[in-house]
Amino acid sequence: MIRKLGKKGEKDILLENFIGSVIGILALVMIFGYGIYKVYGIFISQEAKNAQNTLERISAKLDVLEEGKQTSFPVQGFRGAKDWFLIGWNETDATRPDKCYFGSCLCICHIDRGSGVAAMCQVKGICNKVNYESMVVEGISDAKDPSLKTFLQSSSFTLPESIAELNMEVRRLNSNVVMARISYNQPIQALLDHINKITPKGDK
Amino acid sequence: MLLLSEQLFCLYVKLWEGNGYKCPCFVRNMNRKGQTVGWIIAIVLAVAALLILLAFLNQIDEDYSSDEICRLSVLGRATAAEAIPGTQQNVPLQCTTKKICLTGTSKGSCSQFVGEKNVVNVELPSLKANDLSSVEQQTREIERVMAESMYSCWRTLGEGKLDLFSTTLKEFGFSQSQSTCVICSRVALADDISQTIVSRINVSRYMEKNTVPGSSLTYMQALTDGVTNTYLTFKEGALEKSNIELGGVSTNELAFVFMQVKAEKVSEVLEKQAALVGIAGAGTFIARPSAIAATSRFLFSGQGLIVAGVAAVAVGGTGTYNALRSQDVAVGYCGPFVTKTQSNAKEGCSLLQGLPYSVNDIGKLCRYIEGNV
Repeated sequence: MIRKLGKKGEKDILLENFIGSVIGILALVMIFGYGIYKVYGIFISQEAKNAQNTLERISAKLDVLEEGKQTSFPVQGFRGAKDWFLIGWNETDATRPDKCYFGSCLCICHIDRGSGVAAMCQVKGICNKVNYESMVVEGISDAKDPSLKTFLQSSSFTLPESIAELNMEVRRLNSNVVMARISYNQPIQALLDHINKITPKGDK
Repeated sequence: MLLLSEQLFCLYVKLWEGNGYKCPCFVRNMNRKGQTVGWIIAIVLAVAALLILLAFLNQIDEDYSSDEICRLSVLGRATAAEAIPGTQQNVPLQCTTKKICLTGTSKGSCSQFVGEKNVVNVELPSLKANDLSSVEQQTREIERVMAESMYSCWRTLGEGKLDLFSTTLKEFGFSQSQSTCVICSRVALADDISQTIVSRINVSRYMEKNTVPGSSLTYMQALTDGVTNTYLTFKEGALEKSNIELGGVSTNELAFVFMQVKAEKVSEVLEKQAALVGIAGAGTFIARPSAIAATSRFLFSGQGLIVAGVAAVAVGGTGTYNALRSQDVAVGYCGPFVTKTQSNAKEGCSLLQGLPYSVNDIGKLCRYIEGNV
């Protein structure tokens, strides 16, 4: 029943097994690779998409706001929001990122300590053109890290992890310059007040 | 598989017969033709499985509705912790806030959603002059959309039965629990909806009297099951309060918010810490001698015992403080809604609430917000 194989038979088996193994390994690599790529894509794109949606919403509100008017509206937080900040650039500002081209712009950029603010926005930022000569963003970042606060200064702010109210106004400064201004109402204080109020004292 | 089983068989025979024996691979020689057919079938099945898998992976974000994607991610997150501890927060919650605009005309729109994507316009039955029934119809339709939004939110996010926002740090008492929310939907009323209609809206009453489609239970019965530590609220007069100024136009907008806060029990936190640190010191916080005996075997020397023991006391202390503080936070958020006992509130809760979409209302309920904007 059992017979020994010749050299040729052994070679055939070896070749067949080798091809089978290679195909199997390739298929497994493809499946796992594609799965990892998809999951990784979900992770990365979710945060960036949320940042982009936030910027588009703010820009759209700014577009419909008439000169001399002001408004305020809530901006919803998302996971990873504290790693993004909102910043504005005037059209005359030479330090603004190339993404802004020739005009003023409003950007949401990912924090990267290794580079300057403009570079952060250029590499990992989303910028929208603003139709005004001046674009001012004011706020105190609620970043927990003091060095980050200093770094971002008061001309930008990190996005909220919960919800925050943005104030927006469009004002004519002189005959040539119209300024759009976005300021940030600190959301955390109201929350802290609430937590202090609801926490039973001495019930540890 | 055929290849693998054949190789294993050959190895077994080689070992049994001795080193001098050459691999017979008799299966191949016994029925070469039959095996070729087997190979072809195996390859076809493998290719088909590969294609199906690739198609499934590709379809996840294309063919599935946003609710299905959200539900899948919720289940994925809830089960991830059980499969591999500490991985729960690495599963992204793919729940996108729905934007629903209720309008009385086909061309109506909601100024609240200016600049936002994927806004769903729901056209309400038109109002007829001097016809009270049309007013009633429009009111009921608004109530239906809101009730459906709440129910869908509750169902999609696991009906309060799943632990969605725990982290390893919280479980081990290294950080405090905070309330985390998902804003399931935002429902706005277009400017063409009259204040007469707005003043008539009563979602709570609608939910008490109307049944869920395809079920004999009313919305209220379906949402408050009495088993889980859950509560349903709809802030009275929320619509009237939700005036937001945009370009001088006053508008109404509501958010349906799912909030969960879960406080770890002190004993559980310490037990986990004991298991993590693996020393007897942490066991002093747990009244379980067996746990001490089980963990003490990891100690090597007297010096190790002191260092580890001190560390364990410090860790245990932090865990106790954070667990208690988390319970305080849970009582703060859940206390007003839990009617059974105070201890229930200390464990945490899941809430579903209809609120004005404003910083004051949502900011008080939610320390963190997850999901997509």
